[in-house]
Amino acid sequence: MLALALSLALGASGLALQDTATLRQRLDPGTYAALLPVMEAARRDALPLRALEAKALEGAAKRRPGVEIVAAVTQLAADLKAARELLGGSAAGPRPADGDVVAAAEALRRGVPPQEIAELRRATPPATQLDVPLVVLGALVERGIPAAEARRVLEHLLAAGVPAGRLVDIPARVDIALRVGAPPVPALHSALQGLGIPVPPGKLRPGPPRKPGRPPPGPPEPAMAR
Amino acid sequence: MSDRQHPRGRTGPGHGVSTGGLVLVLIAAAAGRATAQRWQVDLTATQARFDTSSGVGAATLAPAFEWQPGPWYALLGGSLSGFEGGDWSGQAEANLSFLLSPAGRLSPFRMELAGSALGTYHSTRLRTAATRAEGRLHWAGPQAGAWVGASAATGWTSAEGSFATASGLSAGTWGGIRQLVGGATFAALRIEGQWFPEANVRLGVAAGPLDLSGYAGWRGAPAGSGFAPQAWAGLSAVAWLGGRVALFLAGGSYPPDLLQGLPKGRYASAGIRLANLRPRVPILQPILRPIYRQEPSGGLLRFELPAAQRVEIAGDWTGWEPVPLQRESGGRWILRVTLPAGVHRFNLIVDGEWTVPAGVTSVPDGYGGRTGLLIVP
Repeated sequence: MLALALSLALGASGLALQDTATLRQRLDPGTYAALLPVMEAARRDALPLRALEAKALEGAAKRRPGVEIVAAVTQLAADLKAARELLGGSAAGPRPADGDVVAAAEALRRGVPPQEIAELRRATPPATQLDVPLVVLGALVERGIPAAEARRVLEHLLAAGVPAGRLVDIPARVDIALRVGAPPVPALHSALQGLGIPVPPGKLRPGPPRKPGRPPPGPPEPAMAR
Repeated sequence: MSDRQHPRGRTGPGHGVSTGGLVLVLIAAAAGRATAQRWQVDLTATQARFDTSSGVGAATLAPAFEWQPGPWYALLGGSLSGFEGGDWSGQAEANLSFLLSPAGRLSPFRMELAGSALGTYHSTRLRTAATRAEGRLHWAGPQAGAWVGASAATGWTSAEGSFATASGLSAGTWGGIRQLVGGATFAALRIEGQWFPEANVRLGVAAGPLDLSGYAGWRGAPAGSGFAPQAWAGLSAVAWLGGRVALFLAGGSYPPDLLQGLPKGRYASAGIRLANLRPRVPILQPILRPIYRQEPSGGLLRFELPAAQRVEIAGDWTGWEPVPLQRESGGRWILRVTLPAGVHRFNLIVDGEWTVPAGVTSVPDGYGGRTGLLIVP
């Protein structure tokens, strides 16, 4: 009976039944009902519904309480809305790709300043897909590289036509350089060189000071120096 | 204290002569394997046999403390042993190391300056002491490294009132594959005008609560030096009962200490260790190794989880329904699935625990955990 009522409510709200069928199957009725207004608002705002549905399913799979699932989806919807605005889209205007919006929302969570996301979008052709660059941007910022510098480098690489498949290798290379003690910005510089990616012109701006690096782990010593 | 605990003299091969053991420790500690502060106390029962005496039993209490503030690494240790028959001995040592990185330059090379001082005292009034200073140039890669160094050392023993000096060159390499790590060193030291070449190898593996390790070494001696070539080896097993208490067994042999005039010996020991945490045998993880590969027959997801019994994956392409992975040889787990280009979110469920594999970029999942990002170019 409840399912029927919810289905009627969904139909009245304009959400396609198939959009929420999986949610209805996987969530308890109370959680499902609590999510409907969130999903409906997201639909009106032209947010990526699949990402919201996936977040709810993720919570169900991880056996989180319904209240947490609703909170996580609500927060993601807010993040997606903010991200979509940074990428220059609105419900009425041309929509940025869903993947770009989701990646921008995650970049925000990873500490990328909003203005850097907006600047990356402005500096690249509208047709350029930004999901992978935004993931890489978030990874670089997490590694201590100043967001403006990381964004500037990515802009240059996108303009140079460096494919996504090569961009994704950059954080790993940065990790190697960081492990042997390089400061973040020289580590990025080294990563680009190591991958044979053209380094952007101009002097790389120094990043914040970093604790002196350590060589990677060596062999074991069960006792302390004996 | 040591897994090679014995009641008198130095516990490692060639202390005061060799650079091998300490250098490996310093590299490992400087690598971040050691924590900023760690202490341990060993209570050990040992049966030892020196080449200058018959077998003797001993009980030893040995505390140690290591500290790693910034680029510095310090290790302080000591032991107090009581022997059958009423004799006793004490020993102490201090090691200090400083790592230099070329300012403002990216380089896998590091300079290390290290120094140590150690001494022993025996109730028969035998006293010994040694000091060493060493400079090393390290090359450190993600999973292997090497170094070369030069050192100067001094040694003294009250038995003959003699003072010895040494200098020489050393080199070493280390590396790891999964949970097996090892290293080898070579040193050629000139002591009182005569050269003593020495080689050491070490292997260690962490297997669940067990830390297993072994060492072996060889030292040559020039004709007319009064010394014979020596070989030595030993094994140890440390079983951790949680993170703070361990039981250990060790046995093996060690060479004479040329600088302090301490004899070679054999030992078997057992004991209990208390520590603020377990010294982590480094488990070298790949960093951001590609986990998805497009093959002619389709896509392939691959993870290396040698200790796992069951692995599932759940992600946005499965509707977050866990899908089991197939186990292959070498601890690899695979799933054949073709994914569209883009960024996918996923978790592994390893033996029931939701996780993100090491080296995979992740983001907060909104549920207090992390979600991995899988990028399909």
